[in-house]
Amino acid sequence: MTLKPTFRKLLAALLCLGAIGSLQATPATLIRAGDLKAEAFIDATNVTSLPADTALTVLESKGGWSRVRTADGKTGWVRLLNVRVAAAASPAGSTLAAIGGVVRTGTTKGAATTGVKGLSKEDIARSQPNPREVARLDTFRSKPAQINKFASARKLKARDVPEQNP
Amino acid sequence: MKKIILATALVVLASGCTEQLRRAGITDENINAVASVAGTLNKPDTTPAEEARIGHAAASMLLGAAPLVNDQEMMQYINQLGGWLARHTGRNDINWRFGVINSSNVNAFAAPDGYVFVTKGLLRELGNESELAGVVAHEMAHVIKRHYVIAMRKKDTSGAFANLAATSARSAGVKGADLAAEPLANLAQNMYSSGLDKGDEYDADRLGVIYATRAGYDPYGLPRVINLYASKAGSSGFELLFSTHPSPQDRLQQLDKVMGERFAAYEANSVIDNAAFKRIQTRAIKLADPKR
Repeated sequence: MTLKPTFRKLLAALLCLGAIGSLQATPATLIRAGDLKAEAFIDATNVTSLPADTALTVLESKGGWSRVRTADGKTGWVRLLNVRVAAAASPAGSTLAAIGGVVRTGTTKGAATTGVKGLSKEDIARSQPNPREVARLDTFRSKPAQINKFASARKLKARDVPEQNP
Repeated sequence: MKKIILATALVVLASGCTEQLRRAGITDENINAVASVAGTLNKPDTTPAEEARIGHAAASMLLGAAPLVNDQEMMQYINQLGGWLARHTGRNDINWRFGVINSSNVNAFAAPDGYVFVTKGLLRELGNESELAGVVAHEMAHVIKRHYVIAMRKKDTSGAFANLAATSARSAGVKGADLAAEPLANLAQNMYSSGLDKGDEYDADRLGVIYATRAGYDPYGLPRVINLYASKAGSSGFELLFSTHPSPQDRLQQLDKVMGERFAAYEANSVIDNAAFKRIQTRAIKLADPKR
């Protein structure tokens, strides 16, 4: 099967996007010893046991779990709150985030801070009150029936969770 | 000696004799500092009507920096999500109003009297609806615990709260309200560019998880968002969020303490996402920033 050059270029671009996605993997540390699970649930098979302070790369998160890769190349799931992303993100991370901004919004982040309104410290300092926008909020208020519909469409089930003291 | 001067100054100030202090060689700066202490001590708690005015001033300031999105579907979506969460906070009586602000900066805000905002930039970054529910629930906790009213009262050195009380007492009309408007707007600018105390943020994280879980959402939505912030340290668009909140690592450490494995039991029957979220997110990605 031969691919037309334009299609091939497009495919290359898509693969490149995929690569950016996987490069967004984040360096992190396991803060307490725990099992590396083959799947994201408590009864899943153990891949291995990891000691506290194991260096990891976080690949993705789902529910209360994070999929990680160890330095020796093992991948699996650990509890989300047992993983702590490194405090100082690598410079590469911020560059990639900027690229992500270009890809996702079609504009550069630089453009987002010049000539447009925003919510930076400077934007707040130069803000002039806008009561008309505040009044506009009232027009979007949901009716109880709309809220019921929202919840039933998602099968959201209310649960009793006590508000324990910290 | 310093204490005696302060005490004397307080008494003299209370009697309205600032001129005598000036004549005694005490500078205006000192008088103002003492007045600020005296003001805090004497301020009675705000009434619901006053809180409504404070909230309005704060919301008006935020929306003056960047307006709401001009997108009915997005606005209705955030109000339905917030409306559902409100039923599980124990404070459905609050006059809740939710909005998406058209700004690429990643952030969320609350203001007294039930205002909750998320930015378009935040919607672009989140992974699913339970993460949004976690953020909105965190902001609702700030409203319920009156974090902003209490913090603004502490910060108020220009007498905004005193003006508010005076104009409320007179139940003055537009003219009275105007008198308090400018100091309140200034106070709001100061408040939202410096942020709340760390303790208030930890408290809102803890309650945000509880409210979202009660409402049927995945308890780990908010912790995942804080993880996202951790991975975005130093990125463009996150500056104000980082300068006004404790570090993501500290927030996770605090959440870890209060959540433990207590919330694992709720995971199985939780809602993580809905197709509507992706639709709203796509609209947020496409939406251009408003011109200045």
